[in-house]
Amino acid sequence: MIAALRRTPAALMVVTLAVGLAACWSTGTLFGVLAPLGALFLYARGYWLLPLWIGLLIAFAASALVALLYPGAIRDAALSLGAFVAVAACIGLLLWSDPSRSGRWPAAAQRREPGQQDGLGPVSEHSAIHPDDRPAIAQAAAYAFWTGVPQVTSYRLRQPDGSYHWTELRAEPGYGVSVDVDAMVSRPDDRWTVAESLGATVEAVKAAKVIESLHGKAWAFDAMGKFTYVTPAAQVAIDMALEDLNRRLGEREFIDGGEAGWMRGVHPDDVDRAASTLRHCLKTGEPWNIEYRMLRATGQYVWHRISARPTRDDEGRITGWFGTSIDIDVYKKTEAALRAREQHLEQLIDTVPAMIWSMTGAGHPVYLNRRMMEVTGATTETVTAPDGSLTLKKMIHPDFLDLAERTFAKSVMTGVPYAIKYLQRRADGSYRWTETRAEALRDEAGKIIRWYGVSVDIHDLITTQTELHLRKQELTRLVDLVPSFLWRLTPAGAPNFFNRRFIDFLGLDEGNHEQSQTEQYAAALKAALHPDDAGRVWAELHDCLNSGRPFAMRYRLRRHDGVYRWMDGRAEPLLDEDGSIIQWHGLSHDIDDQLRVEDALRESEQSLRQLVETLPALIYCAAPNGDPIYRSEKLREFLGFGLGDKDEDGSTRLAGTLEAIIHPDDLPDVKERYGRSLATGSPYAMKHRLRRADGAFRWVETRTAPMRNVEGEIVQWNGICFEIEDQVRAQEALTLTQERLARAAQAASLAELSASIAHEVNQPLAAVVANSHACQRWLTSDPPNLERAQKTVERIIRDANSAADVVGRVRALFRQTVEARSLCQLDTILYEARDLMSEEATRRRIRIEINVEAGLPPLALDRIQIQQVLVNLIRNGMEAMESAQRGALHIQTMRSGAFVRTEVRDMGEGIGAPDKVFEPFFSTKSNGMGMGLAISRTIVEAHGGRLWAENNEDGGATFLFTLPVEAKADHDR
Amino acid sequence: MSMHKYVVAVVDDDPRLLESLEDLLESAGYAVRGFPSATALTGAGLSGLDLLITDIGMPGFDGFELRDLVNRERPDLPVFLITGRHEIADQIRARAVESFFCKPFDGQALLAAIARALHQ
Repeated sequence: MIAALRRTPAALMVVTLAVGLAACWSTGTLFGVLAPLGALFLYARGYWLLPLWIGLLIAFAASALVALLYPGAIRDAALSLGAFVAVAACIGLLLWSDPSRSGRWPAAAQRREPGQQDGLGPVSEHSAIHPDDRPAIAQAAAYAFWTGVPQVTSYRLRQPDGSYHWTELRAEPGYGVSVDVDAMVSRPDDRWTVAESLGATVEAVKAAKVIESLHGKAWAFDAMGKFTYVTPAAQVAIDMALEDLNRRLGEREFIDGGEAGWMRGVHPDDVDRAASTLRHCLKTGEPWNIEYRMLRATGQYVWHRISARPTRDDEGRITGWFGTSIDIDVYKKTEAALRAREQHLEQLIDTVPAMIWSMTGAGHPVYLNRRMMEVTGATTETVTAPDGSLTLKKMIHPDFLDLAERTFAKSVMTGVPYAIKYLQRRADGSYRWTETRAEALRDEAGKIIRWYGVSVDIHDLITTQTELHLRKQELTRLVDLVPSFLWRLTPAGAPNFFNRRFIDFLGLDEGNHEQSQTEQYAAALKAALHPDDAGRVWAELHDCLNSGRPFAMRYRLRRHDGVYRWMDGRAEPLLDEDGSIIQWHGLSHDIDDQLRVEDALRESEQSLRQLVETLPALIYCAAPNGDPIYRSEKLREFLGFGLGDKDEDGSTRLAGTLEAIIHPDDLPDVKERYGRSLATGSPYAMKHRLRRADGAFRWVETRTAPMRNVEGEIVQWNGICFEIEDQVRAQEALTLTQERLARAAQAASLAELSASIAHEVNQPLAAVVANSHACQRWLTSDPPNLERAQKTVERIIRDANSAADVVGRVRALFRQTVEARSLCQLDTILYEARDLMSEEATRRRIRIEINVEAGLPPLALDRIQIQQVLVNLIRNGMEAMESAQRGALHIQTMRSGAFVRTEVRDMGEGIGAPDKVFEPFFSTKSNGMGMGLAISRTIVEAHGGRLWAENNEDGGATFLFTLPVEAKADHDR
Repeated sequence: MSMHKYVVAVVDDDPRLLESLEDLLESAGYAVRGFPSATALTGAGLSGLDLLITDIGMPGFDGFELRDLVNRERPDLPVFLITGRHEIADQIRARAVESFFCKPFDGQALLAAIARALHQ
């Protein structure tokens, strides 16, 4: 019925007017008129609205005027009327001015006037709505306004032909909610009832209707809790008519704890509370304020806020209750949604893998997210100083504390964003790298109201970065320390990296920033490459770059000091997954020293080889078992074959070789001795005949010695072979010559000897003859000079004896018999010889000094012969010193190994050819016992000794002879 | 014998022969000056000498050298050579040199040759 009323403006007007008048009448005030006034405003449109407002204005002006002019009761009434008019104006203003408050016409056909405001209550529409439906429409609009729940109401709309058609109004709240709310739909056939009798609740119902007019739903019940009025729309909404609400469901009345029908419409969880509080209020008269879920006709429980107030009679007894229930489902849902959203946000904040916090504009901590508290173990309390400000003492590593606090203080003061990296303390007491950023949230005036910050654990990042940095440094150091030159080329061949050593080698100045590094490197490389190598290096590199094959070359690079050094350069391409070249990695190794050593070795080897090959000898090497492993070129030429040419089955190379090259007569001997050397390791030396390439056998002397390693094992035999054919032939020729010479010498010696003897004898003989003539003349002179004759005769005797002596000595000289030899002291003979020569020495003013080593053994000598030798040598020495006419002749005798050696040293002028003096005919001396040095040598050699002459370094000559200690009789001579 | 005595110098390294020649020449009335070597003679000087008799075989300065020296200094001075070496004597005698005597020489022949040389 209410719905029908709402849909019909005329009916609504009538009902509201009736209700308003009834209210006026029942309450004794004018406020009841508000209802029809409100209804008027609801439907007034266009020109209907203007008179309405004018009327209200006039009423208000009149009221004001009356209140101003007439004191007393009239003024009160005027004031009351004025207030009423003001309230009415307000209602009108509310209903008229805001079209969004009203519903929209769902059908497009309803918009008949373009530009006309949408909404409910235009005057033009009002008349079109069936009067019975007008209140319901107003209620729906009000309810939608209050609750935010869209109201869908059916009403009858007058058609141009005057008939009414059912149409639907949808009234929606003007504000959007983000919750999903089902519209409340009412239909014309909805069941609702009104009480047969209002009883004592008339006033309550009146109040309820006032409320209903304000926000669409209201109800009243009596002191026992029995409903006497419920807004039809409300009955429709819960699909309960009054009878259903009030139905007693048990023995007892509701007030006594029994169950009433309306309780079935309450959520089971809420019903007891609702019922008990209501009973309590019913009994006490306290206002009933409650929220509970109500079962809506759609089958959903919807939150409602219920408020009820008692009405009392003059005695204060409760006559009834009126109240309203507002659908707060939208609110509840919004609240729940907000709460859910807040929770979601909180969860979000708590689950975001970051530590989030906020602070007041003054820097006082207010919030730490759960993660932050879990991770750091900090709470709002631990980071708050007693004065409420932030303290980071327990959060940050002491090393960073100062910096962090200063930065923070600066940010708070100036409002600049806060960003810092530091070691933050973790709940387990460890410190981890953390990056904290905070920004200020400002109000419209720009004042900081909040700081929001986030701390992110960047420890792994930092440690990884640090690790990476260290690794990079390490790699760099490695690359720089490698004792080689490392470089890198782009695929096009431009150098983009040289390691430190290479840079130092080239003497690159890295301070040059005018060129790019690549250009600089390329230029340096170009300049450093040896001009003779540049062509082939660039060609090869170009080829490698094009083909992708590794680069390997040797070339010279100029060092910073200008010295070219040989390099061994290599480079290989680095390929990506699809096989294309990303870059080239290269390495150059300084092999200059190595090359020099190799060169030196090669030269040394070559020179040794040349030495071996050019030595005028045949050289060969053999394995420890004797197998030949090397033959010099000369030997190969000599033999006419190489190493392997004589290898035959069943015969070792050694045996095959020996049989091929050794003269058959020498072969057994060679095999035996060579085999012995191989077995014992003793050097081998032999003369044998060797077959030459032309088949001729030539005499050779072969010598072979083992070469041993440090352990002393024989590693090789090295041999040398001289061709001694010429030597052998020469030896033979020499032997023949010597034999001829010996015979000639024998003959010559005889001639010399006879000449010497003749001279020796002639001297005294010539003196005797001359003296004899003189004597004869002295005797035959007149007078005879007897004195002189006597003296001359004496001389004749002396000289004749001297001649006889010579003859004696010659005899002794050739008396070469061992029997003549006897053991005698050489020094004794020496002194005798000196005595013999002393007179002559004195005459020549020459001193003879003798120095004889003590303890010389006696020697087996022919005393006369050796004496003759000594006299000979002494005279010889004195004659050599003749021109000086003074000086000393030194004679020294000493032991020398198995010999006794005697030196006669003069101070003369030396001799031209020390060996020639011993030759026959050399001496031209004509006086003394000059039998010649040849005879002296013959004598000494007959004694097994030797006689020779040397020139002294300080002038003069020395004649030396040795005599064996154990005289070996040389019977053969 | 004239009042003037010819001075004859004798050089021989054998003192015995030197003595015997001095004796022989003195017995023939010559004044004799004996020298044991050619050096001793050149040291004393050639002046005042009328004739020189020298041995050939002497160490150092031999008789041939002395003769050549004297021939340059005093070409007029006759020089007599004597030697004990017969092989030398044979060579010289082949050239028929008169002023040459071989040991042992004939004293009378020597004196006669000297007298001839002095009186030429």
